[in-house]
Amino acid sequence: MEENEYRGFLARNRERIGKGWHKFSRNPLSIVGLTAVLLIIFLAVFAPYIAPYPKHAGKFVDFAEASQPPSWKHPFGTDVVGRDVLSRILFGYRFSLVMAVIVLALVVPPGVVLGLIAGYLKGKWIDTVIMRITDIFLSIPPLVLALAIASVLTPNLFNSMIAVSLMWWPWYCRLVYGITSSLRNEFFVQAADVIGAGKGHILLREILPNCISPISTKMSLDVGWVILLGAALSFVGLGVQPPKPGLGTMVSDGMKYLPDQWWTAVFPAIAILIVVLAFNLLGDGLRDLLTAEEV
Amino acid sequence: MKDLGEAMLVLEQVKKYFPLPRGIFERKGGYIKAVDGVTFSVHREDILGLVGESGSGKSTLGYTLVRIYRPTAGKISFLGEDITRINRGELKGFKKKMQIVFQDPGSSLNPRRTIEQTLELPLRVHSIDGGKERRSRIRELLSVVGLPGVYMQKYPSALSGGQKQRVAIARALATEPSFLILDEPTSALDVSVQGKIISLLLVLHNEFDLPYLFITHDLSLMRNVATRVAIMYLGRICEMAPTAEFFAEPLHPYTQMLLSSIPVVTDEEETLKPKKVTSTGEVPSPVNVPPGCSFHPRCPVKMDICSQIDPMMTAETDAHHVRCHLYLGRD
Amino acid sequence: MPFPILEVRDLRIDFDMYEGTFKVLDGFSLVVEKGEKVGIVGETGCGKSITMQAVLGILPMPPGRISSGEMCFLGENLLTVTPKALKNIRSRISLIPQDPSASLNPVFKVGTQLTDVIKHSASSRGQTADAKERRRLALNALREVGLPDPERNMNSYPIQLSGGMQQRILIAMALVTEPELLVADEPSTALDVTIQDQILRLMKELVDKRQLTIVIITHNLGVVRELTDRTYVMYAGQLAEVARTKHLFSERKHPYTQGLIESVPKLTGDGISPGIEGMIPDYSNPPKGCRFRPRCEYAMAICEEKPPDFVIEEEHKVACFLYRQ
Repeated sequence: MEENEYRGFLARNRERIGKGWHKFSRNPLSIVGLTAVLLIIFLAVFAPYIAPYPKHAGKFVDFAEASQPPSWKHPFGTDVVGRDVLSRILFGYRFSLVMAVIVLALVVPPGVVLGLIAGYLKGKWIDTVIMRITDIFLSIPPLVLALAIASVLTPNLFNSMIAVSLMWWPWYCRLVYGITSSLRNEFFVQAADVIGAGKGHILLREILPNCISPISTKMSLDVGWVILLGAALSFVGLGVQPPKPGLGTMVSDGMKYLPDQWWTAVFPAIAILIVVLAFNLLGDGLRDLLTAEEV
Repeated sequence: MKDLGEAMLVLEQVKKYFPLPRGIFERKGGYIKAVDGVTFSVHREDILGLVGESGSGKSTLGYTLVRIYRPTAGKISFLGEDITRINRGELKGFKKKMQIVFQDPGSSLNPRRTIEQTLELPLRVHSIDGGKERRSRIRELLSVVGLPGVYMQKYPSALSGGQKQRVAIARALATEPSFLILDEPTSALDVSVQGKIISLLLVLHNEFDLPYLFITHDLSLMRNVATRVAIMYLGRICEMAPTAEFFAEPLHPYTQMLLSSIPVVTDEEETLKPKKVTSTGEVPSPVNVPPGCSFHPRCPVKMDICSQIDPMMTAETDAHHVRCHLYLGRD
Repeated sequence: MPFPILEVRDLRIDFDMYEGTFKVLDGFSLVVEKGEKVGIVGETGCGKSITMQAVLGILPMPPGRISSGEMCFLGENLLTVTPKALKNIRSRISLIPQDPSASLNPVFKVGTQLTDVIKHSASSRGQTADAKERRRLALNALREVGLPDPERNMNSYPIQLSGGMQQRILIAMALVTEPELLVADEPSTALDVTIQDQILRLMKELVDKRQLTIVIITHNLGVVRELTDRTYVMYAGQLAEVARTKHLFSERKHPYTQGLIESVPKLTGDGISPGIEGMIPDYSNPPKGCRFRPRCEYAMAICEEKPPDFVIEEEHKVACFLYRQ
């Protein structure tokens, strides 16, 4: 009998998901973004198998082939040391995506939890404490903060992720704070309280599910920004260290050889542009989808 | 007075004030005197209709009783125990016994939780049943309010207003409470649906011996539902009486004003309305309570004393109380 | 014979949504003569608001779509007339919207909003009014709706005023354009009953004084009984019954009208009626013919066809085969 059957999340939401996809797919830019993102993820994951010259992503030198312009053999040319630019870009995507994933994983949980607590207990001292700390972090120009932290620590990818995380978490805290402080007066939250539910339940099971949409949207838009920030850090030498192929590092290296060997700087820069744009389009599509739910 | 059973809930001079922030817009701090000294009791077989307009404090009083707000002053006794200063340990047990149905079905159910999850919450919090029994209990609750079990997996957005309100009632019943507060449970519903929900509530009242504190602005509804009616104005009760007597002989000028303003649908009802008392002025806000009798600025029969001294509640007959200078000193 | 001020003929409105096409309005007709006070009564989703939105030109299209029918203002078809003429017609109709707290812009003072309306209505009538004149007109309007301190109200933000005052301001805004037809959408639903009483009396007074025509849309039967001469009862996008208000309440021919009036709790203490069985239909797959059929205790086989409007007597029509002649 149907009513006995416990239907999982996907089955229950089938119509909603279908409707959502229909709306999402109406916007061609969102589809472009989604396709590009999926493609980039695929390329990054399978880089060792797809890249024509996987070994070029590490320590590799071949001065015979150095500084070759784009050709059939090397579609994006080779850099000053003879490494294939295309292969390095593919591996560079790996670093970018890993950075985005790890930064968001580090940033979202604490930001969300603090936002929930501060929003629900609005007016009490804990709200003031959390939000003022948030304000402090938000008032420092992001790049300056990231640079300061990254230069104190040993420059490498991991530490640049720490730096970016430290300046990113307040945004999630604020986002969730705003939603929570308005939701806490809704009848369904009051009802849970009147029933006797504890604060933990109210925050995690009543309020948080209503924040998932804005959080997801923000996360997908943030991926682009984190990648950009990571590239900026690599560009000034605080991120991915040579010979590893960070996209920012590649642009920085290639800059010295402009305009003659333009391909060593331009293609990595375009690669950054594409990945940031792709995630932005995807994020915009998600936001339009999730914020205009009811007609 | 018909015996309505033992007193389940007793309020004595209950007050709820909200401090006004001393901000840029206010010259001084002060209080919003939302509830300003309310005294009544609700008995086992009672349906007490608490009627008032916006600013009367009726909803605030309801929320204070279920501890959404803590009372500023006064005494609340429930089932014989003083719960005014209840401590955290006993609070949960209390919450099991007194529940509330909110006014807006649209926002009283979490849109991101299925009906089953919403109904499971009270069972889980109070450790009622477990596992499979819980699910069959939820199905039972749904059938009590007239909804098929299939609704368990649905989200509130798939339900109509009336159906959502039934779920809200089921949720309130889940802990087998001894007392139910209903805050305008049908105001947001169409009139053809209201009857069904009210009938359901009456059936539940009889079947489970559940007293109700029925908060509403709809006097016509109370004429048909309440055992006793109390009118609230600016945080105080101005008149309270058993239903038949209340409507047969409304004493307080505000009550007469309310009754004469109701847009009725039949000619017989027109004849039952008191003589037209033209309402003048605005409903004042509980921030600026007029001195003396709080109703005097709008009262068509006010006397000099009314702006100076606040009248005490009298007992006109055994059960008919009124707070008005017109009736003071008549005993 | 002069044209009626508003005539709607067999209007059908569909909504194209993801889930399908919702055939909300199914051939609704309406006539309002100059000087009448007409009520349109129905429950949530019956199509009363959509009808007036279509007339006023504020129906969201998409997803709304007028699939057939006509709407005429003083004989001119609103669907075929030139945009310039349409603008002129619309300037002669005013709307008093629901829920004052949502209809007044919270970040502008009342005076600004009111003079704004005056400025735009003057320009669409080809007149000009300078700031001083506008202010004078605004103050007059506020005085006319019974606000005791118009100067102060002009300088206030809506949030500083009570619900009753906000509603009066909305009425002032509607009247200041000197309309010929006034449409009031749930004019008192958001108000307390004593304030509602004041507002309804004010509206009655103003309409009589200015000899306006008014169409009141509401779900509150008591309000139409007090305020209107003639009332339309709508169900699920169809007409159920139309009659002189007195007759409607005393005779109640259509089963839906009967059910509706019975559902209202009465001061006579007759008890709680069980309401009307069933639910409003799914507009994407509505019942054929009379849409009330699934809920009607008198349903017959013939009800699968759409009932025509049977005339009981002059001005009293019922769309129900029970009254087939």
